[in-house]
Amino acid sequence: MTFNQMNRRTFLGTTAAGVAASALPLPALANTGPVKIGMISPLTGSGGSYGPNIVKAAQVVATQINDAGGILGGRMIEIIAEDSETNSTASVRAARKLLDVNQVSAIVGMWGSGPTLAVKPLAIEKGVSLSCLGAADAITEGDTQGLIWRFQATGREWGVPPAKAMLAAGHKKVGILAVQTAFTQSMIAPFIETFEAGGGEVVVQAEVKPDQPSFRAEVDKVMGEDITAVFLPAYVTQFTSIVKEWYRGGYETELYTLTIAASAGVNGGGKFITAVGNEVGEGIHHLQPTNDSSSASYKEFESLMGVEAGTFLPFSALCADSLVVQIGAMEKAGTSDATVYTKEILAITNGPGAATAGAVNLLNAIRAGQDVNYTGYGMDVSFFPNGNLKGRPFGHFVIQNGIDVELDLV
Amino acid sequence: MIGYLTAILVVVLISALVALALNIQWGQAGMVNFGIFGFFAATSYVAALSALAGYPLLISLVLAILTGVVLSALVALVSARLREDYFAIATLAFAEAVRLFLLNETWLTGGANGLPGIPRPLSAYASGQSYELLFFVLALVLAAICFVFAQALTKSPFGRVLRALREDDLVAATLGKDVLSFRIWAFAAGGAILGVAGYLHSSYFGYIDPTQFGAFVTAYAFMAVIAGGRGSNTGLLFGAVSVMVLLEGTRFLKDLMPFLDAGQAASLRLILIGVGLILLLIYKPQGFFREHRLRVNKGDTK
Repeated sequence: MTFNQMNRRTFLGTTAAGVAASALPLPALANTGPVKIGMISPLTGSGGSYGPNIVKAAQVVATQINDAGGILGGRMIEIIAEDSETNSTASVRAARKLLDVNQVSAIVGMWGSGPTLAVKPLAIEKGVSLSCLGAADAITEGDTQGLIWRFQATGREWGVPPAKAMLAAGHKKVGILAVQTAFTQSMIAPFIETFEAGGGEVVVQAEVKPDQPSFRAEVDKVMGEDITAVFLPAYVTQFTSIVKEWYRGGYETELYTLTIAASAGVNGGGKFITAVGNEVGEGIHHLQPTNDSSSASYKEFESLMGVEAGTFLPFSALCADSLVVQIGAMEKAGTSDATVYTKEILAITNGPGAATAGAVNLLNAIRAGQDVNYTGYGMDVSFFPNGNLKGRPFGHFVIQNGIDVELDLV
Repeated sequence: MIGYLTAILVVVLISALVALALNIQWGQAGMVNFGIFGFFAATSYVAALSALAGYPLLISLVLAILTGVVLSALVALVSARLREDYFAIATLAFAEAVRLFLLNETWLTGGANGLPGIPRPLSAYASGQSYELLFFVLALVLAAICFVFAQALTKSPFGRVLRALREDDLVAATLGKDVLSFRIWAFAAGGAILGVAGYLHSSYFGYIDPTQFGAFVTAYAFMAVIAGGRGSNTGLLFGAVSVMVLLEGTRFLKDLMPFLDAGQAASLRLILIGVGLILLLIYKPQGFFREHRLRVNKGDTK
């Protein structure tokens, strides 16, 4: 038997070529070149259905700002998007590249609690601002040096409204079928607490892994109990499979979930409803922080994204908001240095000042030296000083004939 | 750039250590350890918990190594009668049990939220970029010790027995070798190296959660060992580097193709990684290096 052996010369040559190849990207130009904004978003893996629109949201807003002349006296915004693979170790490698090689000024669109917690210390060490869409409490805990901003309700805020909605609908005995992620796990304890305080009982609880090939065993376990409704915190991929099992099993149990999992959209174009069809989706309840889809700024966002009016784009509007807030703060502070400009964020988002919507309007108002209070694309954006988004009422929707119908605010 | 390269090299060293453990267990002793990510997770969590409890570097490291050794020896002991595929299934089951434990015992492991804020060793001596270099040196020293240990095992009579067991354990047993005890020791030796890897992983990332320890860890380790040449410790270093060059180099290729949207670029990157591995298996099925074997001088054969 012969072995192909690599000699030392080939080895050294290949290694050198590899190192050289990885050094290819251009060196950063500090204060005159483009303002670089990094993104670490779930383009593949279990969050893969959200990532592309999250990145697109930042890109279309950046293009809009660049077309209007850029920021900081004509500098263009450059978006560099990396794939988080919905995994914290891959996110850390991506963050190292963005921070050390691309030398970005801010990272936006950081999705998922695990990846965010892993990247957080790197961003703080480098003095780069991190805007995330993760729900875990720990993200904004500790000394964040004003660099960490959460454009997302915390897990606790997500857990309470579904419990209240189920109590209001008269459910007494319910079950929970949750996907095991930091985001969904963080809402279970507040859900149970609220539901039991309201006189209800959580009879059965089961968990599934995000990448399970089948959810039948867990669905049968939960739905087989004597319950009238189930709370299903999940993402759209798993929720779609779970609902198919629920429908196949012929269960009468009502389903309550999050809008990010079950949106049909007011035009019926949601990912979930197109995957399962109107008949299966009928009567499913879902909740999320209010997103005023009739507002002018959301309509502007829809046209930027190139989607039909009434389409629900999970996380995207918040990601666009996070970019606008960072850019606005840079313009106000006159620098892209995050340790300086992040101090202006509260002044932009919380007022006092005229309510201002849209990226270009915000930048113009700031340049004109006006006080502003930024209202986001989907909802008003204001912060606590620790970087947490202020809570908003949750909208309660039910799917009827393949479209979302809003029932009430919780 | 230097910061990025140092970070990537640390990650390469950690994955090389996992591969080194696999190379002793599977490469030489023929024990297919698909559940290697479970052992890696257990040692990482022990290192993290002890560091969070305030123990210094050396104690955390020793605890992680002991965890690796004890768990590996126990798993090898209870699955002693299982061969190849069945043994692989048993290790996978063990890893799944570890994962479930980590996810559900929230009071200890933080559950799905993981453990944030793990103290980094030696942080009193340097900060910023120079700390990254210091950590790299620490990782390099630990990896070098493990490598020397693995090389010594490989060249020793013990290593020879392992390779004999891999080829045919009946023959080895007939020659009077205690198959069970050799297997347990081989597995435990791998476990010790996994302890070092787990320690470095948790202290380098400063945050661990169960999603960091998935089947992909096993896949990367097998890829490194196969690319390097099964059984060769030197080879797997090269294998681990090749895997990382594939994983990270593709990020830069993607930057050169701005006409793709983010979703397409990410998918293309994963496709390129897959194609790279397939090409490797087609053109270098036996890996870059061959395993250690005794040299026979020409004169000796007469």
